[in-house]
Order: sequence, then C-alpha cells, then structure tokens
Amino acid sequence: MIHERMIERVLDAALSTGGDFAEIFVEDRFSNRYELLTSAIETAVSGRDFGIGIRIFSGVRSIYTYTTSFEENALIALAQRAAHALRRGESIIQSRPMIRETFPKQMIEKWPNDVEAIAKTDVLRQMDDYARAYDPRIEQVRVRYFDETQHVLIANSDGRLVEDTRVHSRINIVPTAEENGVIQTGHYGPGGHAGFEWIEQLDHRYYAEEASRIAVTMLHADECPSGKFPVIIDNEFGGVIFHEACGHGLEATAVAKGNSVFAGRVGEKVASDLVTYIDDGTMPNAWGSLNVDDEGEPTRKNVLIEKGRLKGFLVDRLNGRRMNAAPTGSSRRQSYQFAPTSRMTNTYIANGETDPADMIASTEYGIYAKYMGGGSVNPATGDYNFAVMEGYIVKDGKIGRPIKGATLIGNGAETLYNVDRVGNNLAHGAGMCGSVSGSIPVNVGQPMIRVSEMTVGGTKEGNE
Amino acid sequence: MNRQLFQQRVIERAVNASLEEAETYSEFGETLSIKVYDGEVETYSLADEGGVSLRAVVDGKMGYAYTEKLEERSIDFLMSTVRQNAQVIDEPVTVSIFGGSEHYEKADFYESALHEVEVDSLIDRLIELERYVYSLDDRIVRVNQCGAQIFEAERSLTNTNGLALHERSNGFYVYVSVLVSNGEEKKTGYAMRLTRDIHSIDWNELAREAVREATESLGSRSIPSKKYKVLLRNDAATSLFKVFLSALSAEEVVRGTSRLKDQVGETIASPALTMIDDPSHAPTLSETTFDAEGVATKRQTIIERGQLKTFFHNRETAKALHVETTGHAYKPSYKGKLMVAPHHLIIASGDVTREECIERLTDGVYITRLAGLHSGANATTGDFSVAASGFYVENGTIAFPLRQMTIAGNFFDSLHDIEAIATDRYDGFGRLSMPSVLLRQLAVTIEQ
Repeated sequence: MIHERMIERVLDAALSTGGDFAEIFVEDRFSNRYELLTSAIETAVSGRDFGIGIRIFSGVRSIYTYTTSFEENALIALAQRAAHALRRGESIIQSRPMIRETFPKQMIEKWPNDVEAIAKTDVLRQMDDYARAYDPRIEQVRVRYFDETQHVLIANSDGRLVEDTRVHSRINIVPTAEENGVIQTGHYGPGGHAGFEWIEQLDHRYYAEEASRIAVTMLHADECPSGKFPVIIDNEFGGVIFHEACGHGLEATAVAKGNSVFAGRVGEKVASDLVTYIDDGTMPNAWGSLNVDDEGEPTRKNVLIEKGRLKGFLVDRLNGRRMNAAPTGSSRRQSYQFAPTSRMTNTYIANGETDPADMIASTEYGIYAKYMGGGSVNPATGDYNFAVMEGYIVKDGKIGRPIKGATLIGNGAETLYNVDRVGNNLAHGAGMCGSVSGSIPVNVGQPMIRVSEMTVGGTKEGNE
Repeated sequence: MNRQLFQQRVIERAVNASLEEAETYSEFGETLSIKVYDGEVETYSLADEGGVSLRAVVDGKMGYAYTEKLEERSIDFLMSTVRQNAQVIDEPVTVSIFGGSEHYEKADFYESALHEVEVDSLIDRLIELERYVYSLDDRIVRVNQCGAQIFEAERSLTNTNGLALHERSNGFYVYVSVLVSNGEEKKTGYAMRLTRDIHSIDWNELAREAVREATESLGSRSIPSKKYKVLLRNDAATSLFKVFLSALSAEEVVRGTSRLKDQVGETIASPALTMIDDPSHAPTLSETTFDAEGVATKRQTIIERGQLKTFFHNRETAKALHVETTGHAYKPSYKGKLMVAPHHLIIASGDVTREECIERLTDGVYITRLAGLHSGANATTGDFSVAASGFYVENGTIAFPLRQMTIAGNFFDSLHDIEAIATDRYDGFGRLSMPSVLLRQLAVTIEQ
C-alpha cells in the first residue's frame, strides 16, 4: 500500500525527538450501504475511506495524529510535528528493518465489491416481503444492508510489517407492529467477517419472521413488575449484559488506570464456578473476528475467567507498558481517525451443563428475557441497565405472559457471582461496541443463563 | 492530485460516461487539538480529514458515492458505484441538480493570523491558564479539562451545469472545566470561548468565569417543588431551544413529524420572540454563502414577533410544499444525503437586561445549566423533562444556589409563555445564538 522505505523514513521522523516507539496505520476501506423503508430502496451509498495514522510513544505517554494525505513529504512533516509535541529531545532509536509477517486468515469467497448492488438490494426486498407477510399488523419495515472491505497496513519501529484485509457483511431488520394505537418494534441484525456468500446463505425468512414475531408479541405484553427476581437470559445476544457489565472491565484500557473492579485480582475468584468467560478473535467468519488486531498482533483465544477465577486481561501495547503485561491481540480502532486500545472481539460465556428446558422448569418465579435491547454501563463502578426487548414472566416452571418495559439493573461484579445455571446451547449475536477508540464490530454470546437475583425495573408495582 | 483538480476530473468523467447530471461536493478540514493536565501536554492531535462525494442521476434516479483518496482509481470506483446505486433506488428524483443562483455574497470566513499561531506558544498559554485557575480559589479540587482547538475547513461544489463554488473558514476554541468542593458538596464549572480573533480573548477572565460558575453553586438548598417564574440564562436557553429546531425543518413537516406543520402565518410564540437566520454573520462560525446544493444563502426572518414566517427548505422540500427554496440544503458530512438545517439562527435581543429580568422575580428560579437533553426531550411532541442547575431568586435578588432540579413542560406551549427576552445574547457552539429568556411559568421539581 505504501513503500517500505517511505515507511522507514516516516517512522524515523516520528522518533526524531527521542520517542521510543512509533507506528504507522494505513487504511483503505470500501463500503456499501443500502436501506429499504416502506418497501422502497431509499438509500444507496458507496464510499472509499482512506487515511494514515501515526502513533508515537515515550514511556507511557503517547501522541496520535492522522491525515488523508499519502504524499511522503506531508507524512514526514506530520510525524515531525507530532514528535515535537510529544517531547523536545534528541532521537534515541531508529526504526528496525521491516519483516513482513504471515498469519492465518479468515476465508472470504464473494468479495463485496465484485457483487452488483442489485443482488444486495434483492435480499432486502425478500426480507421485507417475509417480515410483512408474517402478520397483517406489521405496518412498516426498515431493512439495512452494510458491507465493507478494509485493507490495512501496519508497521512499527520494532520491525513489524503486516498487511491485512478485513471484510464485514451485515443485515439489520426492524419491523414495526401496530394495533389499536399501540406500537412495538422488533429487531434482528446478523453479521459476519465474511463476504456476500455469507449474506446469501443466511436464513432470510427466519430472521425476518423472528423480528416480526417479537414486534407482534409485544403488542399484547403486560407491564413488567418491579422487584428482585431470578432472571433467565436467553442465549445469543443475551451475552450483551456480560459484555457491558464485565467485558469492558477486563480491557487494559480500564485496568491500566485502575478504573476496573478487576484490577489487581488475577487468580482471585470473581464469579460463580459455573462461569468461564472467553474472548476469541479467531472464530471462523464471526462478526468480531480479525486475523490480526489493529497493532498487527495475531488474534487468539483469550480465556479471561475460568470456572470463576480471573485468568487475565485483554491487553494492548500502550496499556501493556503501564501494566507490565504482554499484548493479547486485542488492540482495535474504528478507523485511522482513532488511536487503538484494548477492546473485545467475540466474547462469550462457555457452555455449561444445564438443559434450557430444565432451567425454565426449575424456576418458581422470575423473568425470562428472550431478546435483549440496548443499555448502558458506568465502566468505573460496573453499574449497568439494560432494556429487555422481549420478555416473559416465569411462574411454577412455565413461561407465562409476555411483559414489556422491563429493565435489568445491576452491578457487573455482583451479577457474575449470582450466575447459578449455565445452559448448553451457546450461540453468538452481532453488535457494535462504542468506546474511546470508536465503534467496532463485536460478537456477544452465551448459552441460556440464570442469574439467581437481579433488580428488574418495571412500570408495574410489586409482584405479579 | 489536488482537490480542485480532482473534482473537475470527476465531472469530466461523469460527462464522458453519459451520466445525465452529476455533482461533486467536498469538505476538508484540519484540526489541531491540545489538552493540558498538571502542567504537561496530555493529548495532542493533529488531524486532517475530508473527502469528495459524487451524486449523479441515471435514468431519472439519484445514486451516491464518496471517496477520501483523491486518485484516478477512486474515480473508477465513483463512476461504477454511483451508476449501480442510482439503478437500485426506487424513487425518481423530483428536483434536478442546481444551475446556480444569480448572486452569491462575497465573504471570507478565514483569518490568516490564526493559521500562523505557533503550537509551542499555544501550549505554554494553556499551561499558564491551568496554573492561573488553580491560583484563584482554595476550594478547587482539580482542573478537569483545559484545552484548545484550532480548526480549518474548506468546502466546494461543482456540477455538470457549470456551477463551481468554494469557500473556506477557520476558528479557535478554548475551554476550561474545574471541580470545586467545600468539604460537603462537589460542583463543576465550565467556560469557553469561540472566536476567529485569538487576541480578543481575555484568558484570565475565562479562568475566573469557570471558577465562579463552580463556586457560586456551593451551599445549595432546596425550595418547594411547584410552578415558578423562570429566567433561563442565555446558554441554558440555547441548549434547550436547539433540541426543538427540527420542528422548523421542512423535511420533518413533509414526513409529518413536525408539530409546526401547517402553522406558517400563525402565531406560534409570544410577540417577544423574533428569530432570524443569518448565514454571513455567525458568531458560532457556521457561516456560509451557498447551501449544500449550491443555492445562495441569504438573511431571512423565521419567526417575527411570534408569527412563523417560513420553514427551512431545500429544493426538494420546497417543491413538495409549493414554495421557493430558502437555501437550507445541508449535508452533515460529504458522505451523506442532502437534508435540511439552519445556517445560523439569531433570536433578537429584547429590551430588558438580564439584571432587570432577575429583578422581576419575586419568587422565581434562575436556571444556568441543563443536562440530559438528548434523552429527556422529544422533538416531535415538544415534551421535555431535563435536569437543571440554578439559583432561587427572592424579591429580585439571587438568594442561594438550588439543589439538583428537573424542569418539565412542553416546549411549544412554553413559547407562548415567554414574557421577555433579555439583551445578553450568547454565542456558543451550534447554529443558534440567543439571549436569556423570562418564562411566565415552568414546572420545577427540586431535590428535597
């Protein structure tokens, strides 16, 4: 993408005032977005994003700068200005000779830019048909298609030189159901680190109908009671709770500055024995997977919590310096406009032993959260709140009436201890995670899980 | 390839490829951001970004594409994707690419002196600002943020109708945020300046303002929750009004999501309110001489003594509502579709000073800050319930700071409750400048 000798000159300019590490990140990304609403394609945009980011370290201080220019003189000038702002000294090291690295790669068959727009929008129309045909109360459907092909080149003063291509494809469907003035929506958004072949082989009918089913079911939902109850969270996107409540606390981004409840606790019991929590960036064609992270480090399977004990964290280079820990292939950024930091990839709670049907049958009274909506977390304290998109009362071991307006409130660290059943039906769901280094694709996953007690915020007073 | 050349080349190739009509729109910007903490540079970033977008009509339908890499290969990409994208769109275009206005203002929004500012001297100035803040009061716990930005922007539009427009602008912004404590309570204060003339800034006054904001809030007390006569300070009023500006967008009117639909010519506010849009005198540095589809911008009255005169239009919404465009086509970024937005709204000063407004409060509340606007306000219905900070005013004098409050109501109803507009216009960020507003009544809930 850019010539090796030019890279060396830019890195040396970055190190000219005494910095001890410099890195260049080149990104050339092609993307396509289509949107269908009211059964008509309304939006069709294709883009090429391009830019170069330069990062320089001096101990644990760092500076980040970026540009859309690809002229050598401009890059060297940019590196010099950044170097000058970081420290005003003399050069102490020079960049080492580049060694191109190889690594295992995700399989891509149909590159999105080789596929005609019409093939993509045909999928949207098909899903719109399925969603509307499911029930006459579906009055509006929005379907979005997104793909991107991101070419990156990452080089640093330690001699690393890595080139990689990442491909993402995703469909998002949001049907709206209406009856007697009540409006509810459903949502499903499968995505993969994969080409158009992945979109083609998706079960379009299943996702469209399921999203419509959620919307229609919630039309007749009761107000949710408030209180403390056992909560059963279904598999797949249910994993979002653990992502927000603990996942971020396991990133060096928080741990290095002491802003995490897990800081300094490796080896300690931080969760119930049933909990094994893993972040794996190598899962084939999974939405959050990467061949190498955004510092060029090959991704791997990182076991964070094993049978309740804290094993380790997700570490990036800079925070690794603060923590005296090695990088774990977890450094990510939204684009060249952000400096990278430790983030998640595909994070999940590993399979347990309980049959999901038994989990429901053994619950006297509680809430069953079948699909989760959005939420937020206070990363420093671990306090979180999440909306339940589709929920039910569980009474005497049976799934009862649907409930709406349920919010699950809790503290990440406490919730981990209160997991008392882990199912055997692990599945993963795609989402976008936002943090200091921008918005990135991640998977969240889990089997069906029961938490013995959670605070449920509802709009109805008391039990029942 | 330089930017101008690239855009021309795109149009050339569009013509050669027999695209019926084509238009390129580009935005480029460079931002220097510096933050200091504890006497040192904490973050420094120098960012340059931007790109060129192409929209073109093929068989009566409009496709969009953009690129940030200005090279020939990108033009191949633009040509092929814009054609494919036009073909999959279902709605035909209702307005063509613009041919040009008769007259464009000659204006320059670029201050060269700002471009010459030395980074080292700016860093030193910020370190000195932080040090001075600390010297002002023993109750200061921490200066949370102290930083500045110098930004430059350039935009340009060229199309197959021969229209070629270009303008550039720049600006400077400095801010400081401080945390104070009296041992029991912790309060924050914030101050900022936005200007093109860096020498006009009184840095010490900026520091004093931030500290004052924080220390004046210490010692908060409570009063009964009920409806009060309220003075909304200019900056708080700006943050509230901004949320509801979308009701003035013709796009929202066409979609049926504006409460002001069909209200042109009607009285929508008290006669104290007059609002104009002035694209060439924007203290918030959002000036422009041409909108995002190349229509010349002009000064116009939006609300006159409470009466709604017009919505914000682009050519498509104007056609749908059978009026002339008002020159408010807007693209949030070169990557997106054409929408609608005001350029710079100014709510005209009234004839009472802020002090006189305070004197009018016998049992009233003076609100200086609002929070939670993004989730506590519904732009479609006008309902709002947001967190507020401020003071109790008794018999025309500020008595004491108040505990955390919530103010609630309906914005469109409150417009009729405006008793007076002050003379103290505030020029912060965003596309609105307005003075403090005296409201006859507003529901105020206070932490007891």
